Amino acid sequence: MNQNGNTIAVQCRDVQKSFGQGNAVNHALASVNLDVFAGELLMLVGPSGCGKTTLLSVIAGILNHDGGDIHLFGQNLLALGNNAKARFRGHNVGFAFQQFNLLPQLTAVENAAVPLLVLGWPRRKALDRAGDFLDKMGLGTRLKSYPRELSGGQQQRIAFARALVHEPKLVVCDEPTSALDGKTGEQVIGLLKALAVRPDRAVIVVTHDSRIFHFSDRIAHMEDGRIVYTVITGNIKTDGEKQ
Amino acid sequence: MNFVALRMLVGDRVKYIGIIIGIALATFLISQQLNIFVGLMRSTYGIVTNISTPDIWVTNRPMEDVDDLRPLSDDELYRVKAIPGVLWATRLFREDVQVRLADGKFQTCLLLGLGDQALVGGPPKLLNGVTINALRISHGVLVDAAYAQDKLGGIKPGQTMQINGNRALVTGLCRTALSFQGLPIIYTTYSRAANWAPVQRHQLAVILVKARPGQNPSALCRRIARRTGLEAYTKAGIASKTFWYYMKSTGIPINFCITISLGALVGIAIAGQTLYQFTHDNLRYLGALKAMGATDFTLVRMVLLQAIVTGLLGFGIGIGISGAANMLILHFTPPSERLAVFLWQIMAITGVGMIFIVIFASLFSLVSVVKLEPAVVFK
Repeated sequence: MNQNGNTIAVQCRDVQKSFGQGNAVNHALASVNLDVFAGELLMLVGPSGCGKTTLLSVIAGILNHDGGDIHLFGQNLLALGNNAKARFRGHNVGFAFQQFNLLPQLTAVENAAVPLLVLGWPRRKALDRAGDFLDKMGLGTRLKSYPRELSGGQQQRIAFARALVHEPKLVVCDEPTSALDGKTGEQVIGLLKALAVRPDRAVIVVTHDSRIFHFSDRIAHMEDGRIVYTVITGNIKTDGEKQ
Repeated sequence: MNFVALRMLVGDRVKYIGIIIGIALATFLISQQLNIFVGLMRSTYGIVTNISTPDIWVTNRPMEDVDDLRPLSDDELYRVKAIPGVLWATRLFREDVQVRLADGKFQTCLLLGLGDQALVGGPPKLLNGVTINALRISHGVLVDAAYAQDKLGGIKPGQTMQINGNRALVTGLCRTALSFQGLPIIYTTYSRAANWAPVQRHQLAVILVKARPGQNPSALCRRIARRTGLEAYTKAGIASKTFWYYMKSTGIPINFCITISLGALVGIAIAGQTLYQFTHDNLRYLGALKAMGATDFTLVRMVLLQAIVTGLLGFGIGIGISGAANMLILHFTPPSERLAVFLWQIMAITGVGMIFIVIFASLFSLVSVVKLEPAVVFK
């Protein structure tokens, strides 16, 4: 918890990540320091190649960092083995991807139920729960539709349902509007903000799309593998940041 | 996650069907070749099957296989009879003879002569209510019904043929196992067979022995061998010796082994390549599952489930085709040439083999799944 009473959901201290070796080494994350608070929607922005997606990946625990510390709701990710980390992700992290990554062989409701099935829920119960979520997303009539039968906006709403259905504490989204037109992008991010942001959950969105910045509570700007500055755009109160 | 694995599998119909066809083809090739191989190898000791009743076969030494018998002196019969534990012992004549058919053609046949008095060791099955006593009729012989039809000009009971210039009267039909050489089998009495066959110094091929009740046939074999210096085998023992002689001394097993291996390779190649392609095409989704918390074990289980399901379906179809092919063979092949068998043991062996093949074929997929970085989902 910081001095303003916000619970720190994600704490990054001097996080480093490199790819390649020797002269070809690329320091994707030079030294990242960042706190993400429960109850906020943080947008990670910056030019292409600045390390946004890499940072999102190491925060979500799907990529190991080389140095520094990352704590997710108090859990040091480096202390977990691969399987323990996978289980930790399964319970605590929800993902929404740029290309949606919906399984084409599954229907909308089956896709939304996948995180629950990963956690070992009985199929019937998981499908019921996913169906309720899709209903909230306005897709109650498209439960049995396959991804190929749906528009981009509808597919992204299924992806959001899949990211939220298991009530994770952290939701990470990579360029969620890049495959959508402006209006649809705003609609789905509005929906994400309405359904995902809760006092006990943090949402991190990597985006280039300035049209959706106004949905954020804070924006962290990255350049050359570092957080250059953070800007408060919503109701969140932090220590010593631009307002 | 089994549900997700199966939906992913059947959702990609082209690859799903491709894998099943590959496995079915391999199953068909392997089971069909195994069926023929087993049928062929069984025929190597066909004469053992065709001589019923006795427990023990006593032959001159050395004996490599049951078709390569060195004649015994008639005295040996009495020496064998005198051994404790022997209930009875009788002679068996065995010789290839030329048979002249009604149309003037010649056919080489296997002539078996049974001990005149008891006529034990006759064919395993007699047809049309005929008994072994039909051999007591003057010039009487029993012939296999299938061979009679296919190779002996359709000869019927009551008709005659000439064996080495001697008149033989068919007094009944029987059913026998196929012989390796494919020669028609003719049963008659020992003395008649000895008269009909070319004269040799010794004509006794085998002494057939029945053990007394309670006697262990294997122990009796050892006793006979020790006391007579001859070779003595149980029925299973002589069949096994003949079987292994053909296994070791002929090119049959290696040739079948090559064909069966080719079948397995076809299965591994098609199933492996298609399974790998299937997994490779789904890596992004498998990465998404990994990111969402699926462990390596879960993903490996999913891939193995997909492999085993396609393996079992392919096996079922392949074995079905194999069965249908066997029915066609039965329908169109003369009974005297039906070597192939269709045994549940072969189905079981093929089934286990196919499961190994699909698991082996899925190894490449498994490696790529285990090495998969979940971060691939953000690339």
